[in-house]
Amino acid sequence: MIAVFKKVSLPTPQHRFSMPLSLRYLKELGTAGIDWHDLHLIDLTSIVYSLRIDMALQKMEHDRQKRLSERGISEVRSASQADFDAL
Amino acid sequence: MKKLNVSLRIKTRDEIIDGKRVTEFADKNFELDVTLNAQMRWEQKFPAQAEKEELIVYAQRVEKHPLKLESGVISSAALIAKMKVLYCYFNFDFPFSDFLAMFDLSLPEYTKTLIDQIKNAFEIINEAASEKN
Repeated sequence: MIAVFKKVSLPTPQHRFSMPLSLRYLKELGTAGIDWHDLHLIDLTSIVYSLRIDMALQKMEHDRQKRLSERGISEVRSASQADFDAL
Repeated sequence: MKKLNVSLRIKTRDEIIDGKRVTEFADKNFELDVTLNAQMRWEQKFPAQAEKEELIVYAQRVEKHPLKLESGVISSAALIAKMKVLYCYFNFDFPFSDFLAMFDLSLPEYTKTLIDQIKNAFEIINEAASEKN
């Protein structure tokens, strides 16, 4: 049995040393230029999550623009009556 | 931010005199620090738990735990969990065990008062935030 186990090569889990949450918060608030010193922890958490949502929305918009430009589309606008008439 | 204080009844005397236990208690004001420092203390004092969840998430979770079980018995686990949260909101330089030693959970009448004070402390912490969930 031991011999069988020895043959099995399982990936050794690597311990990840992640940055403490408080330092991550400090980093994110510092980048956004927000003074955290007098903020309530609950408010501060709320701000950090809002910042993350804003950043995610910006990234999604950036990715959308990138995909459009890759397809050669420079602008997307709503079709007008004239556009339909021209079809 | 204005200063936040909570009052907790602590043990001021615990002696055996002529074979009898003599205890005295007094209300003491403690200043709350509800800033990011509380989260830092959480990470420093309880690293294993801090790795799993942040202080406010832990506080919200344990706040729902009833301190008194259906049988009427006081849940020490729930009480200690809430004490952990409060300990992080105070700026103490002594360990958590010393903080717990300030209280005496063996006396039902005293514990009842302490439970009300802890409930009040949680309300003060939550009320101080602009964000209400």
